[in-house]
Amino acid sequence: MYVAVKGGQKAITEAHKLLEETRRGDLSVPEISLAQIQNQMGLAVDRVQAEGSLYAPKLAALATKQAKGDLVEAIFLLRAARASLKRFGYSEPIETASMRARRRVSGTFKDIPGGQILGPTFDYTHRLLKRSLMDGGQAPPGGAPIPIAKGPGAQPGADGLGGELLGVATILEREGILETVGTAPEDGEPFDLTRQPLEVPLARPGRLQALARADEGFLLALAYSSQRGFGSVHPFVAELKLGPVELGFRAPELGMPITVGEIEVTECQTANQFKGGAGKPPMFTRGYGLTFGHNERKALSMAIVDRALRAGELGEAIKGPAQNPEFVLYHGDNVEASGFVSHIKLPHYVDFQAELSMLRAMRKKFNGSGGPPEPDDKDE
Amino acid sequence: MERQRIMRALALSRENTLIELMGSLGDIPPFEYLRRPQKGLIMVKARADAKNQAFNLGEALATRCSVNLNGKAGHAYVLGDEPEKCLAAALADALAQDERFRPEIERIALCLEADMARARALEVQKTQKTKVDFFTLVRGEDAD
Repeated sequence: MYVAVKGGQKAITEAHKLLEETRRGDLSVPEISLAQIQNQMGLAVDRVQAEGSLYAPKLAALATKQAKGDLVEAIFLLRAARASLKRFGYSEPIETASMRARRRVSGTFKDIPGGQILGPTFDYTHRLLKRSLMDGGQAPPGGAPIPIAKGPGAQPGADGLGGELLGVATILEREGILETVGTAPEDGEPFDLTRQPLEVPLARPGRLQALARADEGFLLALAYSSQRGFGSVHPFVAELKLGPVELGFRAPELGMPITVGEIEVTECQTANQFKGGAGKPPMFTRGYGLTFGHNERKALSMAIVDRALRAGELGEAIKGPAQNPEFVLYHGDNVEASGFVSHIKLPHYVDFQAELSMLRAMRKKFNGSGGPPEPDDKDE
Repeated sequence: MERQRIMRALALSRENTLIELMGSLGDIPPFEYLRRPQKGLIMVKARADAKNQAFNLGEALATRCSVNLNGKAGHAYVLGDEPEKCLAAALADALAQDERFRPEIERIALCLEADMARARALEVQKTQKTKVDFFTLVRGEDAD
């Protein structure tokens, strides 16, 4: 309890001034712009959007700047910004099958329709520091800006490059070795964590929403623990892809779905070994991961944890934390977790006084009953 | 040209391109706001396993705006905090319902689609260069 504390206003104001000063740092160094953060720290911005649960690249860049690069703090800022805005409604479900993939790989088959596209990846890099990126180094040229169109082009309306490709999961499904799923009939809007309390058991749509905004590190550790044997999931990456998808929205005043823009997402579909059970034959079962922006470590971890959380439904023994919905869902949100862990930094003087007097009374009683003597102060 | 197709071209356009093209229209009739540009959220839905039950992925920042122009209501929803782009798109939607302006708005929509096609073609060209052919090595005992 910290309500019994008053005062400190002046010190708090000064601390905030000092925070702002240290955020800015040395004034002889130019201030970083939001465009620089968005363009050159894009993966930080993407993580803030995914876990902040708000697709807004400019605001995520602002949050990252304000938080001095502390991404969990930036995520908190974005969640707070989101809370002050009106909800227009729910989008049409995005169609990841028609994504213009900038990256698309499969760990199950080398020959996939449309081919494997590595895209902008850290995979196969040597993880050696590049001296060319040091200040004054000769950095490679970046992407040139695209000039503004002055008139209709040669192929008006033809923007359908990329196009819909046959998904690897669909191929496995057609072979009959991956569990079959179909579009479930719509029964109102899905469970919404921003409007409904999180209670377990929670059906898969609610779990996926919670996982999509959960802390990347937490999901990574859970996925790793599961792979190492704590509730074993043996995943293969059927398909991992990154790219923009169009967002459709049915505005009430229009009565028809319209495209409102594009969002970039990372999607991961896994095929996981399953020995059979709960009335199902041996087959591969599915795990699904989806995040805003380019977050493939998170998307893959999410797919593994999604599959692990299906243990109950598939009649598997629950042996590890990754399979326990209560453990996973109640501890994955880094805004809640860091709030609860960090709040003990704030004054707890009254609480502590209460504990202290109780402890003193207990020790007095203990010593009176001939227990071991108090430790000598000199030893401390 | 369908209204949805025009609205898509407007929503996917780059702000400066759209404003420049709308500027080329010259004088347009006066309008009044039915709703000034307003920021808000659209909850993005996706599907488990890409095609199964719908779930909420997270929200997206968007701007909406509605205008009345000569008795025609123009509406726009665009992603991001983009009041100017959203107003331009709402005006274009209203003008597209006016016989005198429709050909011009269709021309603008075609320009925007072409602009987008160019940007996407460049992107595809770069992406396709990273296409890889993995091959598995044939082991000695199998290769006869």
